[in-house]
Amino acid sequence: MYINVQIAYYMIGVLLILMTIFIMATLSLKWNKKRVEKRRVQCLVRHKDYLDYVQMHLGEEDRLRTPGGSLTTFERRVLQSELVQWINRLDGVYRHRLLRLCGDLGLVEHNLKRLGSHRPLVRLDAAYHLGALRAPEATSSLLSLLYKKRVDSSSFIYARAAAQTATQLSEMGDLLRFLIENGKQDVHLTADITRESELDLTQLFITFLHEKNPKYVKLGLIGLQNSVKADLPDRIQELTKSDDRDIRMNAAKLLISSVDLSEEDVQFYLAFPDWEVRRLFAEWIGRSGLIQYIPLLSTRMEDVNWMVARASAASLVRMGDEGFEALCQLAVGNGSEHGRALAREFIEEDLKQSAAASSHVEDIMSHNHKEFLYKKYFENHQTLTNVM
Amino acid sequence: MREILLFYGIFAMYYVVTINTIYFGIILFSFRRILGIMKETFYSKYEALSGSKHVPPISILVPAFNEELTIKENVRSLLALHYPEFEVIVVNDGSGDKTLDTLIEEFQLKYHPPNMIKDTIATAEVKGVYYNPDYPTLYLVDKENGGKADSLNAGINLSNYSLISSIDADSLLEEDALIRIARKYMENPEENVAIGGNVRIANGCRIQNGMVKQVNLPKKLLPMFQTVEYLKAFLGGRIGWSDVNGLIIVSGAFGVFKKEYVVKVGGYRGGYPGEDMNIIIKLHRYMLDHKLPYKIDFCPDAVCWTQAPDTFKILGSQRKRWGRGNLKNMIEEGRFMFMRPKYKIMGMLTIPYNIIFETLSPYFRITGFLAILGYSFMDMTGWKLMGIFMLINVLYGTLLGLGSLLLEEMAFQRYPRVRDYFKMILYTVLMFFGYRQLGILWRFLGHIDFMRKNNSWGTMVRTSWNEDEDKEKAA
Repeated sequence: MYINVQIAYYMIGVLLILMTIFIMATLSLKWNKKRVEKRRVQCLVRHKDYLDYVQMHLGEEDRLRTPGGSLTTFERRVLQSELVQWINRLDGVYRHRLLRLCGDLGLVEHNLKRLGSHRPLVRLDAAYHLGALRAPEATSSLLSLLYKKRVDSSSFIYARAAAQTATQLSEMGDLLRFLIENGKQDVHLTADITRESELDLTQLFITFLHEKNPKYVKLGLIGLQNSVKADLPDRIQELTKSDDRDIRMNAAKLLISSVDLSEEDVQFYLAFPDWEVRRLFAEWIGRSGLIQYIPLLSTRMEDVNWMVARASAASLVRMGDEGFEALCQLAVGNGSEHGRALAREFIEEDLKQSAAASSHVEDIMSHNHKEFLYKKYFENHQTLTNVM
Repeated sequence: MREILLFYGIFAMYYVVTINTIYFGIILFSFRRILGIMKETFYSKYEALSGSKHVPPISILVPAFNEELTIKENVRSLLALHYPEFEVIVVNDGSGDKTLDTLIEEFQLKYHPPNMIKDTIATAEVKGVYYNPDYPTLYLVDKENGGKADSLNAGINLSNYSLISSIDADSLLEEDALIRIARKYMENPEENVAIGGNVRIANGCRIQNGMVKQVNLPKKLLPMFQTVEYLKAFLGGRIGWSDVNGLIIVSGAFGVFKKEYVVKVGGYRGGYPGEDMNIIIKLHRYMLDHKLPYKIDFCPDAVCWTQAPDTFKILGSQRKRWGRGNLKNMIEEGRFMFMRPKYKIMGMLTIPYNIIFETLSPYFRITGFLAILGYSFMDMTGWKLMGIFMLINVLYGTLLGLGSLLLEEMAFQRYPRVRDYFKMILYTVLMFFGYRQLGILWRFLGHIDFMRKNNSWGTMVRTSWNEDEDKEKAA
């Protein structure tokens, strides 16, 4: 077998050199991080009065002044990091005033320059901050950077930044079309990016509903769920019959916000093929207190999906005495053992809860009435004693 | 005879050098990927996503067998996750201790007959499902003992969502771990069929209410070895393997899967350990057989903390199980993919690497060591040569460890103290003087267990997450 001791010695040398490089690189990262953190703390102490001033005068009408003297690049970065945190936490006029201050501090200009850097990490950092600073002058550069590269993880960071800075509907339209045509991402991720925009995208989403590519339709439906509710187009009813599960589910979800659903519609959606939609409607009926649908909810207690059945029972409980009586009827009725057991469970739980919460006269009256109903349906039932 | 021993000894040394060289290549892939990971870690908006209804709902499956000491904290930590829509399905696999009672008492769960469980995958008999509407996202399945894979399959049968996440009952997820893994999934939901999380060692860390509050290195010897070992395997290895779509395992401790495909490959394979590797190999095979575009990925910033065994007995059992599972997987699945171009990276690199350098490694290493020993007794002049080779192997192994520590520092910085870094270097070197050899021996013994059809779980003892606090209170 080939053995060359000289090569072995060389190899030991190479390994030792690589080890030294790795150790030095790791230690320099550690020390650099510590050094930067120390400088950051010192800088914050130095500018504490100024940051206090900004906080105290945030609600006033006068333009916030910038700190006296010129700032070093490092100081600018530290202040930027603090102010961006505040911008992300605040909205309305406070955010607006902070954004104007950041402009006055030259942060937008500074980051626009960095956006042209040849280092990807610097470009990305600049894009992130320009987005946070809602700098409209950066939108076209951000979109250009986005279009230049293959869609990968960092594309979504650029896309978010572009959505944050966009001031024209056409810019958002271009951005979304690019992501849909070129990316493989979940449509929900694209929808989440649209939430970054301060524009009203309703019209854009409605346009998407008529596109052939189902990805646009899905985005339109999901986007409309987040939008300020306009009159929903008739197209949504059509989409509930789509072959695409996601499309029909999202269309049904959107319809819940519509006030003009007929009893036939509700019946249709409570028997929808997708259990998520059935559950959604069952929950919605309970939440909205629509007692006229109690018989429909009662039928859902026999649903093959456990979550739908439970959601229906929970909604019946939310509907007061009428819902409670419907549960009692189900518990002693001729339905499946599963449905009867579920009804009994919710009845007992509701009685227990109402007994515990009997601090007001109305609560006591409600509890007494439920007890009366219970006795009516389950005379001398042992469980009642246990529940009480 | 002397020449034969020398020849074989040198061959074994080259074998180890080759393993290290391939691993070094994989680490280079990890370095290539780390910049992207840094970008994702620092700039992706997890806070916005965690409050968004746009992330996919996930069913978290937690198989539990005799976990009474840790299960309460684990379930609490899961229920406290920052994630918009998820359900936690704990599957009590016929535990002999009070796992079931502990959970029923803690969460006031009520019995329901198991009629809501679908029979998508066959499992041992399910006795019932426990539920409390006050914890609407928690389900406890009680079933006859059938093993971890069987429990995961039972969890799949009850699960309501299209993404499932398997989590060990002795592990703690970080608050944003699910959201980080979901973000990665959402970037390519069509192709991502499985994504693994990063498993770190929790021994020594300060844990409060089921959350790791302060990261510390373990105080004990064995968990410390495992800390550097895991860092190397997860950061040095899995980032690189996932970069070339050649990941062979998503740790059972924490991973997210597309349920549709897990069901299509028949669910988890029962009867043997190593079900986490088995499901991944089956997924690769299925997707490649059907020519479907896919990716099995790794998300290093989604962190799960786990308890490392701290005694030789428990660690030995674990490693023997791993050895047994690996051998079974290679015999059952790996041989069909070995050196078949149809299976791309898996067939041409991952599986061959696994068979030649992982499964068969104990044989080459043990016999090689014996040959060197024999040769040295016969000819003392060979010591120098052997010493050089051994030194190369130790240095090479240490270099790989240092590479992983550099990756850790670049993207994650969980151990910022300089003295922690030097402690980890020390243990990276010390590993080569006993610990590694013991690991190889345990793996070999695992193979013997496999041949003897000894399929017991071995020793497995859990300690409470609040052990330190408990001790303080007792004092």
